[in-house]
Formats: sequence, C-alpha cells, structure tokens
Amino acid sequence: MSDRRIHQARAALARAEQQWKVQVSCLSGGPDRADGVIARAFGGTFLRDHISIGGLATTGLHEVLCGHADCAASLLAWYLATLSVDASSDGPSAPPPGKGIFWIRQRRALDQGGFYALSLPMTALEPEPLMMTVDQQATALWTCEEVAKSGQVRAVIIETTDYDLTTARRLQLACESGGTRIIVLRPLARNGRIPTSSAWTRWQITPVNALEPTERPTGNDHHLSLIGGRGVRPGSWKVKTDATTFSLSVADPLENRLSEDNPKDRHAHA
Amino acid sequence: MITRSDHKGVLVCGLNAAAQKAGLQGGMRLSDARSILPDLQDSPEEPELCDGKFARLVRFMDRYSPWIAPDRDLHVHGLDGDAGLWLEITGGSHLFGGESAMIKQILRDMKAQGIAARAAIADTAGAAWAAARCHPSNERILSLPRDHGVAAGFPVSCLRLSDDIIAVLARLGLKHLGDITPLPRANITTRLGPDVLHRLDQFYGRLPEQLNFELPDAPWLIKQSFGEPLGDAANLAHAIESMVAELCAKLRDENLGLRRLIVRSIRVDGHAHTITTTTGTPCQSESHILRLLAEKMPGVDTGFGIEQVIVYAPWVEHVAFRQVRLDRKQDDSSDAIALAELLDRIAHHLGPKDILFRPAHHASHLPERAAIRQPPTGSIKPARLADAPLPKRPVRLIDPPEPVDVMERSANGAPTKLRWRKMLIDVLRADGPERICPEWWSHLDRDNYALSHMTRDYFRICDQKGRLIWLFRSGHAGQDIWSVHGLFAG
Repeated sequence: MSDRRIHQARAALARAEQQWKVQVSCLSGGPDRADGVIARAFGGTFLRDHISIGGLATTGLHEVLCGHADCAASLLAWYLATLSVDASSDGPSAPPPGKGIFWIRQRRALDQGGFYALSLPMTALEPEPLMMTVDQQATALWTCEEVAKSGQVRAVIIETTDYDLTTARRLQLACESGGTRIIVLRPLARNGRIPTSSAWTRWQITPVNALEPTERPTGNDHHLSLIGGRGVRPGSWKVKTDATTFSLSVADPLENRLSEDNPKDRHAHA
Repeated sequence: MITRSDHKGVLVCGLNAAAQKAGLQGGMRLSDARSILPDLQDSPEEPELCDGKFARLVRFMDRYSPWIAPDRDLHVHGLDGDAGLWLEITGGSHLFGGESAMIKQILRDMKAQGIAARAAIADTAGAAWAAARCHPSNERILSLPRDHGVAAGFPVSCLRLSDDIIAVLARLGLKHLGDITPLPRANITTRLGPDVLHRLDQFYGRLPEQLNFELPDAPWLIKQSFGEPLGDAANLAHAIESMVAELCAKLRDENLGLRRLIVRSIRVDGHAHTITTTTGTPCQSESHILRLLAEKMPGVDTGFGIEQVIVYAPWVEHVAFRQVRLDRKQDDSSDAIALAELLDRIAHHLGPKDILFRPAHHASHLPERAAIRQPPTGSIKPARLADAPLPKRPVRLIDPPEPVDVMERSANGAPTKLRWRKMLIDVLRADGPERICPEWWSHLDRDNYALSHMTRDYFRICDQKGRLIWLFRSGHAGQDIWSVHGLFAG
C-alpha cells in the first residue's frame, strides 16, 4: 500500500474517531462529557444546567430565530460562531489564525438589510470573513453544506428561509464531517409559531419591550432564550449586548436565577 | 543569386534587382542563367537561415499588430520576392497616427531592416494582397465601396489564381477585375471552375478568408486525436482525465499553476464543444481540475463521436510554494490551497446575481460606499481596514435606504413619531444628529446647493419595542426626506 493510501486511511480514521467522540459526548452523561464543548458563555454563565452534554457543542447545527427588524439575532449568531472552548469563560476572542467565518445571505430571507461588515470589531476581521449573497435557497444550502464539509472555515452563518428536517440532517452530517459549526438565522413565522427542527440548540433574542411595565428600553437590554434543541432544558436570561465588541453578557445573575426558577417567566420567554 | 538543387538539377530561386533587370527568372536552370549573365555570382540556399530571419521578421512586425499571418510559404516563395505578411490592424491604426502614417512607418522600418517592401491597407485580406501589388497610387489604401473604380482596374492576376486559369482568362479577353464582375456567375463557374468566384468573393468581402496567424508558442496545450471516435461520455471523460493529468505534471515540473483551462471536444461532424474553467489561484491539482470539469461534462453531446480533444491552459501563473514544516503534517499552505479549491467549487455554482466576496473598507463617509467587496482570492488591496476607528455603525444596513413618513418632530429636529413599513413607531429616545457629507472632491462641478442637498443628518432612535433604528434626513430645508438606513443591535 502506498504512502498516499496510508495517509488517506489515517485521515479517514481520524475523522471517524472525531465523529464518534461527538456522538458519544451527546449520548453519554459521564464525567468527561464536557470535553469539546463550550461550557461557559454570555459572560461566564454555565450552560451545563441547560444542555445535557455540558455546554454548547463546538460542531453541529445551531439555530437563531429571528423576528421582524430584530438585528440582535445577527449579533448573537456572530457571537455563537466565534465562541471557542478555551475562551468560553471570557466570551468571544480573536479566532485562531487561518480559519475565518463564512456568512451566507439569501436575499429575501430576512427583511433587515444586509450584514454590515464594518460594524465588526477589528479583531473579527482577521482572518477576514467571507461573505456570499445568493438568490436561490438551494444555492445557499448547497454552499453551506459544502463549506461545512470542507472544514476550511471555523463556522458558517447562513440566513435562510424555511427548510425541512432532511436538509437539517444533511447540514448536521456536514458539520460532523468537517468539524464545523453552522449557525442558521431563521425567520419566525408571522403568527409567532416556532418551526420544528433537529438543531442541537435553538436560540431567540428579543429586545426589552417598553410595554412591560417594569422595563425601560435602552436598546442594549435583551431577553435571550434557549428555546429548544437536543437534550436542552429551556432557559431565559436578560443580557446586555455590546455592538462594539460583538459580545453578550448576562445583565444580573441573581435576577436571572430567580427568573429561571419561575416557570411562568420561562414559559413566557419561550 | 540563390540556387536550389533538386532532381532536375540546380535551379534559380532567388534573384536581386540587377538579375531581374537582366531578364533572369526564378525556376530557370543555373546553366541557362549563366548563359545570359556569365559573371553571375550564386550561392546555395540555407533553409535554417531563412526560417530564422522569418521568425525575427515576425517578431519585429509584432509591434504593429499581434495578429501576423504569412502570405505564402516564405521558404518557397520568399526568395522570389513574391511573398508577404498579413497584419490584422483592425482598431489599431490610430495608435500610429492613422492608416497613411502607419504605412509610412512600416515601410521606413522595413527599409531600415534592409528589406524592400510594399504595403497596403484594405478591408479584406484579398484586397490588401492585390492593393500591395497593383495599386496605382503611392498611398496604397483601398476602401472598397469608395474605391470600386480603382479595384476594377486591377489585373486578374491579383486574385491569386493559378497560372492556367489566368491564361484562360487572358485568352477570353478578361484582363481586369472590372471585366469579370459584370459577367453572370453561373457562366464563370461553368467555364472556369469555382476558384474564380471564390477568390472574387473573398476580394470583395462576401466570403471570409481564414489566415494562418503566427501565434506565440503554446507549450501548455495537449492535443489528442482518436482513430476510432469516442461515442461514450465515460470514454471522453477518461481521455480528458489523462490529458489533464499530463498537463498538470508538466506544470508541476515548471512550478507553474493554471488559472484557466479550456477543453475543446471536436466531433466527427465538425461541431466543437468548449468547456472553460477558471481557478482563483494557480492550481496544479488534477483532481481539483477534474472535479470542476465534471460539473460541466454532462453538457457535452458526443453525437456520432468525438475525434479530437484539445486541452489548453491559456493562463498559467507561477506558484509561490513555501514549505514551513519538515514533516508531512498539514500546514497553513495546504489549508490555503484547500480553501482556494473550496472557493473555486463555490464560484462555479454561483448564479448570475450571486456574489462571493471579502468585505473591506473604502475611504468614504457614506456608509454604503465605505464597505466594498473584494475578490475572495487573488490580489488583495493593502487597505483592508479603516485608518481610524469608525463611529458606531449598525449591524444591518438597509441598502437602498427605505423611505419613512415622519409624523412628528421634536424641537431639535429629531423625529418623535413615524411610520415605517406600515407600522407606527413611537420614538422614546433619539441620539444625533451625526452629519455625513458626500465626497466633495467627487462633486467639484456642482455648486454648494447640490452638495448640501446630498448631506445627511443621521439619528439613532429607540422605539417602543426596544429596537435601535438608524435613520437620516436628507434634502434641503423645508423639503426633508427621511429614510431608514440600518438597525443597531445595542
């Protein structure tokens, strides 16, 4: 057998081992379940109480549901894409050299205009992100799958319209194959209905509403909700967004703890 | 005099002006020539020397046009003084000051090279050939609709016909073009064959004339002909695969990579199908090239069979290979290659309106002009980032801006109630204005009024739902136009 074939066989074995580890970490509840997951995020908040594998999976499909003219979802998507295991306690940091973020925008998917790259912090532009604007949803999904499978980017963010469970499964397999994270920005239905999906985690972020009697909108305060996923216990946090550094941090841990204990609040946010 | 030896003996093939004046002709025996001029000096021809001079002449003429075609086989006819070169100068004569000036310059340069020449310019290759030899005036420019009378006076020999046909025409009393053109075409074909009308039509531009242009060396071309035509697409793909592998191996030897590849499949009925593929970076990987080609191969119709396949790389570039590790582990360069191959695959799937780019900053205050798109691979402009930190900018930019109806305003001009997308928005807080002016250096021809008309005052408002909206006021006093330009995330 030639060196080349041995090389290919070793690479295939390594990929299979990586996939197996990801699947096992999802299924098992052992003490080492937090390996390869982002245990802390949003300013040091532990995610193990809400996600059974101990935190946010570094590879796989994640969804951010997006309302009308609700562009904090874009910030959340970028934040989730830049999270890494090492820097999870401090929020997003400069991504490792060599691999950037691929943003795919399907026209008419979200009616919020296009992502403005100059709003990104300087550290996010190295390595420079790749952006793509397409007309057809099929092209967007094919590109997303191809990029995720290649493993040449750190994460893929895709703005798309509704897609089915088969497509979600294909994207999930592509993520496992290439060790990539996919963040899907998905619009909410007009009636507020949340579509079904097989994503690992599903998030929603909404601005603090002035109609709530106790709230005073500032534009920086948002309700962040973990509304579903695999092995996910729903939760909700009040977070502060920082558009300068593209980060989110939990506003008041004590208040959030009380909010989580109250099932009524949790149901309202979900 | 230059002589050439063959089975008939030693023949004359090249004469100078004095010998021609003495009555010597090409093709006559050397013994006959010596009987006319006993003091004749002769030397045998040297084909290699002739070919070398011809190649130098073609390179020299390249300064006038890159498209140069030899008139006849210069090795055979050049020594007679009856050969020439065609230059395709369409759209290029103005660079030399016009057609007359160009002719003068060519003749001057040829004289400096020690070559006696005549030059003419015409609309067709046949007309230029005839005008160079038969045009009565010194300025040999023949424009056929205008100079039809001049062309009618050309002898029939200027049609490049065989000696037999010219002799027949002379017996019939047809000595000039003007004698042939009024005749019925059917009679000419019946009596003289198709050549006369064919050349006549080429002279007047009614038929195209294919010239064999001297193209530069193309080492990155592989041509393969098949005795048994390939009727199956799988066989064709296999043939292309082996040819591409051969081409990539050649490129690797020279440390080059291809940027564009053309695969031309010629069917037995003469129809050719061309596949062109382009890569973002110099590529030496045959597997990557074949993967790109495979997406376009289903469009190839083999018909009754493919008899010839040409694989040609018209655009190759040097590969900047840099080894950073001594072991065989993957390094950054292999990652860069894999990323470039990924972008190639995506670029081949893009639709007409799809865009793949890297965002970059452009020195402009206008938000929609400050963000530009750069190609994902290839040459990168140095200024990727802004020189100074930009003011706070929205996460999503609505381009073009959407008009809004401002219903109420505060004392400082900020909106307090507006309608956008059929929704009523109550403004709880407004920051601004931030005044942004267009580039005055781009509008130097306009007056101050026009510039002030294009100036924008941006406000950052927070509505009752907690959303941060970026809107601006443009227009002049009393005619304000409000538009939403972006959305902030905090």
